[in-house]
Amino acid sequence: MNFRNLALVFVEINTTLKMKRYRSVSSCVTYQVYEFDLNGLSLEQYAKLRIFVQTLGYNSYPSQLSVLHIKHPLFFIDFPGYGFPTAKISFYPQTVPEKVNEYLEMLNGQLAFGGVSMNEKSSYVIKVGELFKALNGKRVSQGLSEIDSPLIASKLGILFALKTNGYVNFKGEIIDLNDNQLIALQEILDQHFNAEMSVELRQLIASMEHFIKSAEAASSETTVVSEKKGLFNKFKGLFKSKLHQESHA
Amino acid sequence: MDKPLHSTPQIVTVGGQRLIGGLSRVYHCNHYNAYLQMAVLMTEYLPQHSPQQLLTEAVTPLIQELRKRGYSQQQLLEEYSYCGFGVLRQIDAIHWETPSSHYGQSLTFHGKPQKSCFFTTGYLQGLLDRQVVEVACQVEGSESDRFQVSELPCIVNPYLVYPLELTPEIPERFSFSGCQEFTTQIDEPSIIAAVNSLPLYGKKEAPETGLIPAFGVVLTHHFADYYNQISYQTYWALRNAGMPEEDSKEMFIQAGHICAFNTFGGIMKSPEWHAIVAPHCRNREDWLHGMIAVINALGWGIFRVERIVPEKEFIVRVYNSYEGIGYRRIFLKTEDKNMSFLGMGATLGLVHLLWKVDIRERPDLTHDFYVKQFNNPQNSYTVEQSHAIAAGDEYDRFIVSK
Repeated sequence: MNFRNLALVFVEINTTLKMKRYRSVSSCVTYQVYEFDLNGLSLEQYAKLRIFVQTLGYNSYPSQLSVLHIKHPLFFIDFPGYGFPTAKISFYPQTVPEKVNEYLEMLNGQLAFGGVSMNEKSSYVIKVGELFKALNGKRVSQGLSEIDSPLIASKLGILFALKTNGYVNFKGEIIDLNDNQLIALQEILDQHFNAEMSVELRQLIASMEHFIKSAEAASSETTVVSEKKGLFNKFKGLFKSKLHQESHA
Repeated sequence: MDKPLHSTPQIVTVGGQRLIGGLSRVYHCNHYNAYLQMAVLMTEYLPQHSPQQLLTEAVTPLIQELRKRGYSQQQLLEEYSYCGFGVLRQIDAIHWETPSSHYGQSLTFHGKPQKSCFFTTGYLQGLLDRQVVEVACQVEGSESDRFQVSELPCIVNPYLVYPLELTPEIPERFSFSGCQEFTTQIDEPSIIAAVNSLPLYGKKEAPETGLIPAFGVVLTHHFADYYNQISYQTYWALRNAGMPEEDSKEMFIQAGHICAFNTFGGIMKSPEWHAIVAPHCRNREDWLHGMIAVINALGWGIFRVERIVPEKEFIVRVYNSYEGIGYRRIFLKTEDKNMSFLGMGATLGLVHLLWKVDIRERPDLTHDFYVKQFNNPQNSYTVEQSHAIAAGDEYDRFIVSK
């Protein structure tokens, strides 16, 4: 990798993942520190990044649920609990620029593969199983029939994608929605499932702590990476198509 | 057996297709019709795409084609009832109604009640050459479905742009290369003859309904091309919008799965089945052969069982499948082999009726049973289509395995 390419990588990284670079001296060792801005991350993005970070090395604070201190031969990472403004990756002096970029790119890629830019702040996390249960509960209370989960997931996936131009995987365990998406979900449930769910949706929004613990327990590197690729492809396809349509309109 | 007051149209059976007025007809139940209509309506958020218009205009050119072939208005009204769509009659110069109708009464919905008789609206458009709107629907609580005819002409382009091409040489049962050796006592010709003798036409004597209640479902003797047009146009609209292939196909395959559960399940619980077929069945695999024989009377094409490994694998070929043949009347050849959605879902459902649940025990085919057992992901089989007429193959071929 030459310098020109390095510069390009830095530009790409900086436009997606906000970070600050500085040097830090500790015990006569000068580290290259990259500080990540976590403020713009949704809960789901935060959890994905955290799970990925855990795969990079071993946690030297194993007893602490909320704080990660990941050790690696080339760097260490301080990754705080959700709500803290920044996380840090500190490279040891001997780390060559190519390796620094490689790891920065990997971290950045975890968010890019999620298919959501840092600026689209998500606010609501809902467990899919509980959503479906509440939906069927509402329908049964109105004298309507229950609907099986695979069908709800298929219908919601298509309706939601077409209505919002954004793919949300209703076949997974959780969904992560912003304000507009939550409103769209409410409208779809009302129109296509005959269930007015505004009260239930408010109750279904999960607490941050609960969600993070669940995400930590349930995920592994393999499933996370493959799921992200799938989501990315789906989102990319949809987006590309819409752009194509607009350009022909 | 009830005797119909309406005249019986001439039905020509060719290569597994049932032709009335030269157009392919297939039997399907209210569950399939409801599910399919729901799947089509899911594209309502797509820009520059109207699923309501598609559901309406998919039938209009077919009726216009029948008129070109000499059908009178009276014959078309009689055929509407004969095929199980209900009773369609004129009220005044610009209003028509269906006091009894398949789409107004027999469909179940998930969404908010809304006008749903798109098919009848399109049928009337073809009958009158005028634009028609539905102004009241039984789904919304009206006593009858009502339609208003405008003065504006109805111009819908025909979509059957390629000729009907059937495979003339269909191998006899169990006698084709690659077929397993079977020893079954199921007499397929007798079963087909028995099914053809059943009164599967719309009831016209008092109380006149024009509906076909049978086997615990409500049947229609529907236009195959209508199903193909609404299914494939919706599928391609979803794909063009960027929806992944798997998601775009899933709803249509599920429609076939639900169809199998209700219609095949209902047939295999019926007194007719237990009088004619069940006595010749020694095991569940004979039940598979028996149901395949029944399917061969439904106008879906000619099904030929290729291989059965009990509880593990079921392979069937379909010559002249109405989906494959119909696809090639509307579109050019595709490279995708997994294109006969109904066939995939129905074959999977048939296997589930025997190897996942046991239909021989005559379980109640309730919605609850469907959700908790039949469609439960545990112990499910998968289906794949290896050959497709839509892709230029001689037949469709479905492999259901575990």
